Amino acid sequence: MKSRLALSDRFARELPLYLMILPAFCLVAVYSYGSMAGVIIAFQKFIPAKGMFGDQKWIGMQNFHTLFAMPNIGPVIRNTVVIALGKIVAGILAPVVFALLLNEIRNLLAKRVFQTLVYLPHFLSWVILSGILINLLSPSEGVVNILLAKAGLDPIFFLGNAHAFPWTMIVSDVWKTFGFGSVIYLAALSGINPALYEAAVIDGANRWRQTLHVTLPGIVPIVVLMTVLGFANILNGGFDQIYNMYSPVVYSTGDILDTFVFRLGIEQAQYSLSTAAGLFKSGVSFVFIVVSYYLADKFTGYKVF
Amino acid sequence: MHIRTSVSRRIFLVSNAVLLTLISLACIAPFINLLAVSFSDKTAVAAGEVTFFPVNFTTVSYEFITNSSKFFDSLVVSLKRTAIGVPLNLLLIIMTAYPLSKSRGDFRARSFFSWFFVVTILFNAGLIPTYMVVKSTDLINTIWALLLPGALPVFSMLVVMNYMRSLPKELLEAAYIDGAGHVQTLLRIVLPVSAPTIATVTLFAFVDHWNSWFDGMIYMNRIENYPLQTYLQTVVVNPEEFIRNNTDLSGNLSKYLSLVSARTTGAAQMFLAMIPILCLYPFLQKYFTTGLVMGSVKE
Amino acid sequence: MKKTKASKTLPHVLLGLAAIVGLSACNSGSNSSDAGASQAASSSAQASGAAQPSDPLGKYDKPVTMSWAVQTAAASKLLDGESWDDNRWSRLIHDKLNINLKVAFSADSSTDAYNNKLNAIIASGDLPDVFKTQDANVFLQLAQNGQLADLTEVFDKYASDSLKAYKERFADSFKGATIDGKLYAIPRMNDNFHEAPFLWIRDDWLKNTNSQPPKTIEEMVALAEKFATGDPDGDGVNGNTYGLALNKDLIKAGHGSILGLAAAFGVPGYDESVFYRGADGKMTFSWIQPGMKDALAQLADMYKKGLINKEFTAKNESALVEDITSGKIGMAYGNNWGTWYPYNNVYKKDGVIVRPYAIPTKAGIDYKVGIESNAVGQMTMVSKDFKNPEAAIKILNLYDETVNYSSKEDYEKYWANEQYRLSPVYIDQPGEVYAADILKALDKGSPDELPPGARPNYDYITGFEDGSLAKDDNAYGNWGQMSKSGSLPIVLNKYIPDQAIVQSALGIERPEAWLTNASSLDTLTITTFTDIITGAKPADAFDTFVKQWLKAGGQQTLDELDKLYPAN
Repeated sequence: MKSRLALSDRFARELPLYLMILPAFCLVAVYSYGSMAGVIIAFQKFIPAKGMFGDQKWIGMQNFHTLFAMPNIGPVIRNTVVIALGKIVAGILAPVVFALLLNEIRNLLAKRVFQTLVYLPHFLSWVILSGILINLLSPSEGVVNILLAKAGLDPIFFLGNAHAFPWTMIVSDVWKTFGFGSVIYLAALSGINPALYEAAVIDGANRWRQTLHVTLPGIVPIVVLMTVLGFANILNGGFDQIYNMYSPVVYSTGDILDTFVFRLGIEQAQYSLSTAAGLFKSGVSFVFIVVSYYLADKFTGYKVF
Repeated sequence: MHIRTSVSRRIFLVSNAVLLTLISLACIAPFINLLAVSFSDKTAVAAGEVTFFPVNFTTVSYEFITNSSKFFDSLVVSLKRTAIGVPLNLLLIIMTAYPLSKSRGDFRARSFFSWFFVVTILFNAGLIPTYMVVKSTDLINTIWALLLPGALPVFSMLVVMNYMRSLPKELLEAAYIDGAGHVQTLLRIVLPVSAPTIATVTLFAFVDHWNSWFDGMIYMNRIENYPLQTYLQTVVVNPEEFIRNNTDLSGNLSKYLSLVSARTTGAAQMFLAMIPILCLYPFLQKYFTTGLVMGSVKE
Repeated sequence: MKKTKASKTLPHVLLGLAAIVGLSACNSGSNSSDAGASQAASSSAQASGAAQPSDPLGKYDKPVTMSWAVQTAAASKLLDGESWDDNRWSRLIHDKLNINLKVAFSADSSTDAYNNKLNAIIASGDLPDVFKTQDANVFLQLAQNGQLADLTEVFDKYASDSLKAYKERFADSFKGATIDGKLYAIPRMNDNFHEAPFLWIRDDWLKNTNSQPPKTIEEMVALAEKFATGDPDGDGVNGNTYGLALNKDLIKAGHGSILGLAAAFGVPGYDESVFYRGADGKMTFSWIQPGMKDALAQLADMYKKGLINKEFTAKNESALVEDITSGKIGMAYGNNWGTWYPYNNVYKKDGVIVRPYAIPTKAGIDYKVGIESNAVGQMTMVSKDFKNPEAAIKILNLYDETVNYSSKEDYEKYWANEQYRLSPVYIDQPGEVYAADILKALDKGSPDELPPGARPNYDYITGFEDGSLAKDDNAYGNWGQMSKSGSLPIVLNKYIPDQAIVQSALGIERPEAWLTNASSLDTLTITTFTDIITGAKPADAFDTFVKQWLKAGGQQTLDELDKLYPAN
């Protein structure tokens, strides 16, 4: 008797929690899980008129065979990984270095001003940044190439040259994100126990040695963590950025899975093929995410959820 | 901890300050250039004379924009979207994060719900299926298509949840002993102390709604219903279109044709679209460290 | 038509949700999609059609609502404060036919936006009642999937005699819109040979540099050199102008394409779509012809000398237009309608005429001009879910009557300034088809024998020439297209007699290999050509390109085409 009372009592206590979570549950059920069910069209010869769950013809893995027989799928996967890797590496180095340098600034006002300025690009959309970069990097009218010309250098076609394009994507991505990315390292720096520095000073270490022996070891865990988590994004080359800046001339080095999926699905109306490509990406990403979260937990004891 | 500042240390400090100044300038220089272009004469821009100061200062690009309803139509859509979207995001974040911040003992379904939400981060269905679900719920071409599918930003929710979990247990237990239910505890105790993290995710929600363009392009059937960034994207992709659509050589806009170019009007529109962001983030900046870092990184 | 129904997928969950967010969910019951749906639709169309009088211009007793897809394009714009929902055409159609137009969606058709939107809408299975596409694959797919209304009977029943005459005149186009004996679209009614390339040159630049219009490629290059390095615009600065303008899409028909230059080297290119039987009788493709290598080498040489804008790879056609308007460009290959757009801007701004010339040729090479098959082009389709497919034909009757047989005022109000695009169904570019008749009339000096539809064009041309309409947009447009110094007479008097026109064999039926690979082959072509022109690769890279092209689905396409369109 007593335990049943406790049970209903407990349910009454938990009921508000269920009610609170219900709206989000419904929305996510419909929009996330509902669309997950839609990936079945990757295994069909999908005819839109018959509806997503209509009487479609099942063709098994045929879409995947077609997909992997396409001549550009290899380069697309390579480009995705190359650009993502570049962004992961540079996206860790740059904020760490910036955080270390900023940490040496003792004037709080100056520190705050620097931070405000470098955060700015992070908060703007790739639409706006692309618009700005396209103009800035234009070979004849862009400020960058005008400066290069003044320095006696040949203009570089940052967005129209297949060799330069991936680099342009990586560098502009770092430019957008490094400032805000440094927040986490600054926090880690401020978390280092001051006693360690005092001990180092007593040992006669100068600032450089303190940095080497106290500061860096202090942020290694967080760097490891961010690196590991970064690999979860190995197939995310950055759709918003690339879509707004690429052109057929740089497809050979700049076309990534997301842009490829978009063109296949929306520009060429190959709905099943596009969904198959998206599913492939999701599947591989899933593995990377799970592995990287597992490693994060193993190396640093960090649990994302 | 003070040691005698050596010469090499001083050299370092000075060069560090210079370097950081340069880095900071590199971050905002493009925007200053944008601003300068928007206030410059079209010929000076085309000749590459404009760097950081307007050449032949003129506000004609801005005047030209005020003659176009498209920019303002889409501005209104964006304002509406943010005004509904941000509170909706926050409401759902809080209402989801609070139950999930409870221990398993207090909320037995916690694990189930956690995984339920986390799986959506792990697995993305892709463009076509998502479009079809939005279509089948009759949201196409309505502002709800921009609001409902992403109504719960799962990452932000996890940040808030982790923050709430890190709150001292005693605080909540005291409230519970006082006879407060979940709703009262959430409103009176948890929310006030979660201010930094709420401020941070509010900013994220705002930035997200303000900056999204892809959903507008996919879900909106009428150009008039495009949010600002979607509209700007069409300007970026096809810069001349804006000029052409708004210039009728026989009409009163013809005088602008010799004064504005796709670049100057584009710059002016982009700058206008940046203003809300410029006004907001510096003021919430002080919360970033506490709100974001405490919520997402626990060691 | 109240609310267009599509098959709903998650009705139960969604109804609950819809209630939460305060949306009205539309019912999902009746619409099961079965294979016989298209027959069912066409028979129900007949039934509802029978209730109406089959008077071609008859007004409906009860209002009919028709949703349509609006292509907002570079050249079309709304005038006099009109909107896409309420404008001269929507009012005319409402008043005369009792049809209420409703915009299903609108998107920019000068970029990918319209296509993308349409494809997303197609994916959802919820088509507008009436919509257009330029993409033959989309048309074919929709027709084969049974999503389009069969217009065969409604056309026979409702089309005016004038429309029926067009059907005879443009039999090829109608054949392209017909699949398995059923008419699934209103095709573009035009002769595709009008799409041949021309070389457009500014009058004042020719004069300022003391030059003659070039007849050969060598003369063209020499002229480009004068334009690029001299001071053709007379602003006192040498070299701030371009020689020959190119846009980044190169092989796509448009201003700044390389179609005209390639043609001189015996390469009949047009987009990615010209397949034809070569001299040996074998099916082949335009862009892999050996002459293309020399054409590219020529362009690479011009690029190296600075005669081509170094930045062309960043300029799409509309970006070129700004350079054209601002007077940086004096010479470009382009389409027949240059005086309508974009050179009308130059004329209005500076009063300067830009004139079309026959493409310069290369000694010892027979030039070849590639055009698409008459069977392909813009298709206007009707959804099979639309209850009144005959309404599309009625609008077309009304259009034809208003624009082609009516007063000059109506012509100006409803056709000029691209206003014809406001009608959901229109006959593409009326007037062009009269080019030959008008030329005869101009020779005679009398419009008496012209069909009524061609009269306004004649008046505009003579008006422009005698100066009475010198400031009129339509007069300049017509003049540049159909007067003796216009573009179309070049086709009629030179390209056709020279037997230079090569029409693509690729009709509406398409090889599977081509459908899958067309887009990547297209990319391969453009990137290789760009690389060779900019010097990133030597001209010999062309040989590798041909091999790659054949290997990546090209050879298979040729083989399949050989069977689909056998030699006769």
